[in-house]
Amino acid sequence: MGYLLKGFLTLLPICFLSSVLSAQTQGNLELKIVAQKEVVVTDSQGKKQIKRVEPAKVVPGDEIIYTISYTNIGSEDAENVNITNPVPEHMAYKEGSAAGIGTAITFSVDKGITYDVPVNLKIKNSDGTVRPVVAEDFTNIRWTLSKPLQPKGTGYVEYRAILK
Amino acid sequence: MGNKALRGYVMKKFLGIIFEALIAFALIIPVNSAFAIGTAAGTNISSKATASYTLGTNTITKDSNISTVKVAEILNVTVTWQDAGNVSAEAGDTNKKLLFKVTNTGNGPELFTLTGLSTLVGDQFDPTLNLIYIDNGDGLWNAAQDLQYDSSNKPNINPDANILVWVDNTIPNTRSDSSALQDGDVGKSQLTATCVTGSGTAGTIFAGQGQGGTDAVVGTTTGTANTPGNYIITSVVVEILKNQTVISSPTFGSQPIPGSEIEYTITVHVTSGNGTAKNMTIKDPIPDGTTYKPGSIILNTVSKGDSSGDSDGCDFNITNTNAITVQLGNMTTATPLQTIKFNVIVN
Repeated sequence: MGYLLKGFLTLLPICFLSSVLSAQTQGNLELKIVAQKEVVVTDSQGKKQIKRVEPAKVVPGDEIIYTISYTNIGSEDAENVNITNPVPEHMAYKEGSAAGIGTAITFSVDKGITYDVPVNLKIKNSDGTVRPVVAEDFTNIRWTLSKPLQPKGTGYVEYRAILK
Repeated sequence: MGNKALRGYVMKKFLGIIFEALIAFALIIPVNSAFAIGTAAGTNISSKATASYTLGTNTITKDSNISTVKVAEILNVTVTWQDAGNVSAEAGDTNKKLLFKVTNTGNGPELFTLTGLSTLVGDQFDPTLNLIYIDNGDGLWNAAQDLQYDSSNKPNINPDANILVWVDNTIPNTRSDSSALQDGDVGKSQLTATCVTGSGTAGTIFAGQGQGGTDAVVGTTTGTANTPGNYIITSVVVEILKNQTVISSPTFGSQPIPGSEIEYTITVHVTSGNGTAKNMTIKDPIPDGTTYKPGSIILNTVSKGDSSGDSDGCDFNITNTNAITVQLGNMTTATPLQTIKFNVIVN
């Protein structure tokens, strides 16, 4: 019995230490966002391909693809992972473009206070009546991973927006 | 008693003018709202993602990097012809103007080159191009306020804003093929507006030349636009007929002897042409040897007063001495025949 107790006592401080370390470094999840445009590139044989490039500049009407990649660089499962991104000012979310394997996607029309599926979202008109939302109304997008992200687990989510 | 055609005014032909292009425009205020046509050049579009997750009992949030793209200037312009319809003109008219609107549909302020061209095909005559003027914004021609376009001081137009431009032409005396101008002949004059920063194939980049030092990119309008406006030769043919009836006589004869009352009937009718005879006014002096019968003016069966104070457009001896004056307003082929009657007594 005493032997077991000793082992337990030895174990306890280590557990405590590692959880403190996690909270302090917040380094378990690496998150990276990239903005890209699709361009048509013609190779030396005259064959056309669509490539994604990071544009130095954009003009009104351009469609930007935002890709957010995530990686668990820690040693524990990250659970209840939610990734959110505001639709930038001056941009309009492109309907149906949000994607992410293994995620449930919800949207906000109130700058990120609440999220829901589009069919449940409503906009209040100035006269108090409500109307269904349109893509232009979305202010934020949220991807909720359906499973915990294991160490070394990685993935990405994306959506498109049009510059007004 | 009988009708006698005293005098027939046959086929008075003159070229009328339908309207001056006096169209009042509300000054268009540039709108810089989220719903403007284009996000302003030089704007930085930033995006940052946030992840939240739990490790055990701790909830942790993590921000991504910030991704930024800069909005370049897109060069776009449209030109529209603003007159309500073909502008009526007659051969030899000088300083006839067409009104155009130039809109900067890009997202950065731009200077614009303005060029006129009147030697276009597809019309019957070529106007002679004179000068171009920038309207002061009210859409009404005013030589004191609407200043001549100066290519050394080109107009600036802000994004989503516009300017109104007058293109001035002289109307020739003949068609392009030297034959006589006809009623209905059209002559075109075109305004071209071009972004000074650049124009050409859509997508062409003018590095660093956009607003705020960004790049400028030619948009789908190719950075230049033009549209023609039309002058149309208009004429009206007016027929004025007059006859008299002796309506009473001290004897029962048809000869007007002293004391006889004579009724004159004048009919006025636009018989052909696209134009408008503006402010048609009939003046008829009372014949020598007769005296006007007061209150006898009748216009289209309605009795009219003799004074000018009643503003019915008819008077005796006021606008014109010892004559009746009847204002018929603007008349076209659509105007019904106008009938004027007045009576005199033979002295």
